[in-house]
Amino acid sequence: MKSTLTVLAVVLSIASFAGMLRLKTDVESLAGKRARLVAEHSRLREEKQVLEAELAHLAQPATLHRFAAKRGYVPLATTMLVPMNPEAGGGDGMVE
Amino acid sequence: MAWWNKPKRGAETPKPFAFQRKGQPVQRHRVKVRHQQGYRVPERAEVYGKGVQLRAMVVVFALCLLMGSMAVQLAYVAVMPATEPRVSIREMPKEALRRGDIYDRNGVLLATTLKTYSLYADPKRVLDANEIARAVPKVLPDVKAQRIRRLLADPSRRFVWLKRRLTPAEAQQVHTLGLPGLGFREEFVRVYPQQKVASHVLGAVDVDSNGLAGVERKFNDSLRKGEDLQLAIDVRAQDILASSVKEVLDKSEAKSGWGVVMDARTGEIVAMVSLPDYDPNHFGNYPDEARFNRAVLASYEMGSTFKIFTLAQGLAAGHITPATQIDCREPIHIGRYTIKDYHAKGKVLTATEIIRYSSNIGASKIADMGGPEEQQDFMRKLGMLQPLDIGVAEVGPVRYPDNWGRIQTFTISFGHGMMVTPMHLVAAVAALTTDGYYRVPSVVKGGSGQPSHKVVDMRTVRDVRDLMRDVVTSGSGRNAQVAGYDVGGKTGTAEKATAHGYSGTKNVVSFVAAVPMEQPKYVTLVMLDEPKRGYHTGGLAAAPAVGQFIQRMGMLAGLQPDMGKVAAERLALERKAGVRHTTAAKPHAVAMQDRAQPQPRGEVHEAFRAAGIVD
Repeated sequence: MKSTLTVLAVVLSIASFAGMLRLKTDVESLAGKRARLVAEHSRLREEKQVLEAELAHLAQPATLHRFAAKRGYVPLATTMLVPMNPEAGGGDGMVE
Repeated sequence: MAWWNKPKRGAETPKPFAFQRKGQPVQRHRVKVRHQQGYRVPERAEVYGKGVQLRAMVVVFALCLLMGSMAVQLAYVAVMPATEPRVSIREMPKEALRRGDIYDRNGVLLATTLKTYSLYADPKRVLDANEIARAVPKVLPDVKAQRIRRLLADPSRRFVWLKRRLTPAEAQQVHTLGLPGLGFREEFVRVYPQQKVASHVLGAVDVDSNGLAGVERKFNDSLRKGEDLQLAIDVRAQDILASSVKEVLDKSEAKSGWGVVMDARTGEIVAMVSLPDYDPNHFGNYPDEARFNRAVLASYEMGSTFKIFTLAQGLAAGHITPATQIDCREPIHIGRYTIKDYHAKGKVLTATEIIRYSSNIGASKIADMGGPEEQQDFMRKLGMLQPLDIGVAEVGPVRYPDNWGRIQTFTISFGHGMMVTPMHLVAAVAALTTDGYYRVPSVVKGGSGQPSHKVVDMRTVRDVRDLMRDVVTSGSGRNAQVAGYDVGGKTGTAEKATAHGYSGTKNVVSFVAAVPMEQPKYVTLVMLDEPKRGYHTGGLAAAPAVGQFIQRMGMLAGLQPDMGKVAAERLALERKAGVRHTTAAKPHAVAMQDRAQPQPRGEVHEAFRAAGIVD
């Protein structure tokens, strides 16, 4: 009985040790993976911030005005509006 | 007898240990001595008797305890649900320090925070300060060698900034130098990609990301926590208002100009401009004059725009109707003051005509019907007697007479003797033209959150709308007319107060408008400080700017123009210019269906056919 208990204790100890070792290895591996993902997320977020800022800068009204002016567009005035096909009721507005 | 002391079968019974007591183990060091004395050599088990067994059991028990706890721990890990990993202190603190972004009402980015690198030196670790003083200025020209030498002269210091906020290219160049004692620290820099657009709303931050002005200062705490902020500002409206004010500012050579656009139904400030303005990316480079937000921080005598309130008060109290006739033939003499009209008509005017011709005499007489207390109470309801917090750090004062008597009632009736900010004026006009409820204006999307309160009833609102519309169709606000839109408004021209009384040549001119007048959606105010002759009234300088703003912003804001009126205006313009278009040679135009006005289509089509625009 005693030797059986001893054997069981030894087997349990070895199994526990192996389990802990495996667990530790897995945790370390996952921690490393997570650290890489966090770093990647941080980098991508930073890039996204920069791109959003650049987009906002490029799309600011003053920039669009300059592009529009280069191509000969002028601000739309109501007197430029022409009702198309006034007799019919359907259809969306169309641009000449 | 214990099993290990039992004699072997057939063997002579050995002499037992004389000193061995029953049940006690044999001590190792005595075995050899006793063996020499003729005693039997004890077996191994006899030597490590019960005492050894006890120790072994203790060790086994300890091991079992250890393994058991490990097993429990394993079971706990296996069975319990995974928890969110705690953020490492090394990973995230800088992200947590990132200041929140600011967006306009449509989600356009107005302010954000980007990572940058700042260069520092550790004088103790510097091997050759002269080398750093020679090399660094070559890649960073604005860092002077003399300054570097001075900073590095004291080796007891462990940290000195050489330059903050380097570009990535600059940081790489410095890094390539490979000089010991230099280092980089990651920092965050506030960036305003729209540059000057909405600068006075946004404000700016200092080098340590503390808000200095505008919403950056007002919402400093929440922004520092990383919370984003969405404003009611629309960058399109903001830009159009700025360009409209700028255009008339340049023409009129005024010292400054400012404007406000408010969503009349919600109290949201859609645009707020104060020129000259500044680029918040370089806040420190601009003078105080450019940083000064005239739309909320400065208070003025508003002039004739106040007549809207005088008429509304009289209408609400039942003293007058739009048709009530007031004798405006003679100036009013009260005390040492004489109240007269700028455009004297010298006749009896109706209430409508008093607004149309901006009669000071008429406004004074209407205000006198209610007296000082009624006027003061009405102004209080319109929020004119207390500073206005709209969500930016700047809150301008209001000034009104301590002794509010009859003379003060007369002068306040036409906008003198009381000073409020432009924002006060806009909020009050919105209340009188929308639904009669006063709403605290706010630059934050969703409004101020403060409850609205009733000022006047809808009958008064309708009358005020008619009066303001009449000013634009027949009065001093004609320059604000826009084809297709029913614009209503009121001009204001106030002489500036000087040390020697009111100046006869320096004016603050204004025009406040609501559009569309049938059910106002936006209230717009433009003001100019000291425009030159030819632009010296609200009708000449400010009204065109408001008209231009409505012209450009109307369709962007979803205000459908009345196509019948547009066609008529267009026809009139083309006839005036003597232009005839054929179908093949029509001017560039955006064509749209007029769904809101199905009835005039035929007439419009006929008009265009008559003009040769369409077949």
